[in-house]
Amino acid sequence: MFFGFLTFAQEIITDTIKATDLKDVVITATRTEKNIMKLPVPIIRITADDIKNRGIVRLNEILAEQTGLTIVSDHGQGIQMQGFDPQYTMIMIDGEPVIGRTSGTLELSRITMANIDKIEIVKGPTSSLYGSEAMAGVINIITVKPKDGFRASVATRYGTNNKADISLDASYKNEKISLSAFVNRNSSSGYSLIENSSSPTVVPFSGYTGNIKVGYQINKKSDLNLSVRYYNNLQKNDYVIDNRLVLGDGKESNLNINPTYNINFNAKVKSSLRLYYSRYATKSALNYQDDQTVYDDSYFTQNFSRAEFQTDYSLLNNLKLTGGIGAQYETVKATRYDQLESFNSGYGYFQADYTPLIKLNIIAGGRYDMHSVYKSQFSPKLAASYQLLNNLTFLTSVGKGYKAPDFRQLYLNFTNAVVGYSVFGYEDLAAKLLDLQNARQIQSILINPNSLQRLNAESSLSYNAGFRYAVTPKVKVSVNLFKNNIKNLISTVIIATKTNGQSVFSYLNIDRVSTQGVETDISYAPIKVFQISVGFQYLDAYNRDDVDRIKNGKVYMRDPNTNETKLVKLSDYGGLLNRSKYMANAAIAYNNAKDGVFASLRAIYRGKYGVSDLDGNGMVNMDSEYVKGYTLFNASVSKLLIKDRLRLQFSVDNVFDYKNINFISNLPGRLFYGGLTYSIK
Amino acid sequence: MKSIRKITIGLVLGLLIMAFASCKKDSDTAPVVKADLKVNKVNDLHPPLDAISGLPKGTVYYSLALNKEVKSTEAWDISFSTTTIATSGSVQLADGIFSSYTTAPTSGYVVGNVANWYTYTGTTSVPNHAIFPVSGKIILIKTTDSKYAKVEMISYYKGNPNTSTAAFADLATRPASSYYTFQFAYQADGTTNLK
Repeated sequence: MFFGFLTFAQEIITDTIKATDLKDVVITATRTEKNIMKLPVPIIRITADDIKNRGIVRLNEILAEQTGLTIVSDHGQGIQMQGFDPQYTMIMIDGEPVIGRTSGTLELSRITMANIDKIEIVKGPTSSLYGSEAMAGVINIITVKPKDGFRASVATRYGTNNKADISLDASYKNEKISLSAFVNRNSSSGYSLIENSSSPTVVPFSGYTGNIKVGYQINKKSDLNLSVRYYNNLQKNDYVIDNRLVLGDGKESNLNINPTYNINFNAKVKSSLRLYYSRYATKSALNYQDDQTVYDDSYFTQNFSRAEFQTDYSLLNNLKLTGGIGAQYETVKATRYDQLESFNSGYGYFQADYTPLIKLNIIAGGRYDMHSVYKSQFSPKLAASYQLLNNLTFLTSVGKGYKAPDFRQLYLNFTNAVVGYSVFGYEDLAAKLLDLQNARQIQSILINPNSLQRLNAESSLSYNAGFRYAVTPKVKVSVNLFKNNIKNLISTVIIATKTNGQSVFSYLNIDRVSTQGVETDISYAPIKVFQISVGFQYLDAYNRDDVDRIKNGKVYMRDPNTNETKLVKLSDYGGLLNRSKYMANAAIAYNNAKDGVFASLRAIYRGKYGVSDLDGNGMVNMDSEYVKGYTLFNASVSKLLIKDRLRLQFSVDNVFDYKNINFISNLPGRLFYGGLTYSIK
Repeated sequence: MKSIRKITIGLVLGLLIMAFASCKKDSDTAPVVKADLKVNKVNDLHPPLDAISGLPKGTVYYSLALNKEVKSTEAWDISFSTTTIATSGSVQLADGIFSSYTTAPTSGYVVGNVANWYTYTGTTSVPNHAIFPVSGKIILIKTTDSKYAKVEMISYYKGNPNTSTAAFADLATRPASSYYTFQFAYQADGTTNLK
């Protein structure tokens, strides 16, 4: 019996790391190692092989092909998940958040895929573990851990628009230490969607990513790791403003330093201390070419520091407790902010992972965030999975998500020199408005700033429910239904009108928005080398106040034939901007490891989505306010040679050259790529 | 004797008939149901065409009372000049459907131009640079002689075109602007009834 107990105890640590199934373990959903079969929340896992076999080198390329995710262009290419805007999804590298957003969007092409091991995407509110920004979910990019011995590889890809991507990496590992160095260069000469236009749609750029990781195994129970990652990008800006050419360099850089210390006290308890420093800076100097006067000279510097300590305690063999505390300090200094602004915050999170019956797993947790500027937030979450049959597991979860008001919404001080409108963050709004009034620039005040309440965090209450079903060993189906009710959504509103006819904008917690829908993934592997997968999402994303107004007969539109006014019916309502009701993807992959041939064909369908309000009624309701739906096809083929050390790759993105030059700026048409990778094992 | 009787009966009958007839007249005037106000639709009202460009230039004046275009020196109620709509009296905007808007407010009228009656798409949406009258807005006018009227702007372009077509979106084929199509109802009796 004693022996049996020992074996049991051993199983606690290696519980989910069954020797053969390391690949079935996910860490992002619970901040602990968890078997994917039992996981009670929806998750997508993408392996490095999936990415390499498709010839993909940047994050945006792989995310675009996932069910329920779509890339939206809004101050950069961001990710939309369960109908949420890019600012509501946290993007992490090895568990630490990537900073540097423009109007809430994190540019996905910043992150190279060349040194990653896998990507874990958790859908549904995950603020119970990660805090703000994790309202729609999180995307965690996990980099490769060095394997024993010395390895090195070089990977290249070159294609249309002179898009070049070159990576070099080397690693060494023995019992005590592990070292890895990685460098990547990514560049493009940009493109123009409109022929003979005076300035390109996407300007030329070149950038580098470097990542050095050092690991030291202090003893059997503890290890120390350090990761230093640096990214920089230079953009050659080229615009035409009022028929005058404006040129200049835009620079962007991001430095991440992440030391971690892990210790396994005993079979039941382990802890880790994680420190993280991140700095994001941009600088741009744009001048009119005709007289060299300044058009825009601005900088933005954001610093983020964090210390976090987490302990996992396996109280019982079926009950694992996790607790963590942390403190953050964040500053922003920029041309558009009056002074250095800073945030202090502290937090604590707790999670209980309980398996009362072999078939039932319950995870309950919550996180409490205290912040120097806005109200404290408590984000609880409860999730459960029930394995009805060996091949059928039901999952359900309910949780609260939140997103803090960002620097922009609190402190921005920006006036567009050319058009003349102003945008002020909430904190200084009253003072700025008074300044404008004293300068006689205000025509009328529409909302008295003194009547406004302090800007609060946006919050959501979300529900997810679904199942994972392995119908046959070859056919797997997963379905997830979701509903997110969001309140206090921060939107820009017009506070006052200026004497120059333009407006003064600020940010308010005004909107009540809901997103709901269902998504499904089906995969079929008829024979070992073939895999067919299909994914689909139906989404309803709407503003609850707009829906109420429609129901009360307060919204109008014009009949396109007579141009006379009529009431908008609920069936006319198009929902939130940039959301498609229907999205789908399909992929056929041929993976012949024996002969070293890999090929795939993927299709991505994006249904029509609303982009404008032409009739001034504040919502999407007319056919002309939508962008047409479209399907993109991507294909790639690769061959392994020389004992699998050399990989030759050829891929075509957007095979049928689909473009929508008026509305979609990130579709440059058909792209060809060729690449080769060589590894020294 | 017989004839006197005939005459008397005739007279009495006549009187009776007259009495009846006048009674009928009374019942005719008892509850009077007022007919709805006539809705006038004005199509393609435009300022005088410039001799060289052939396009409207300047201001056009309209009298709602007379339902016709008038000169600036005559009694006018509403005028149009590019995107400026002015009134000789006072004006306010209300939300609603034109045909179901029945009572004008008695206060809240402001002297000056009609503000915020249109949206301009600029380059942010296709069709670019287009002027669209805001849906659901009714212009209420209190004229110089205190008569009320309701006006709905329908189109800013010649021929009241369908604005969702590709022909409209293309600036080269878009119909000319400053051609005003609108409908109005004018209450001549001075009450606020705009039914």
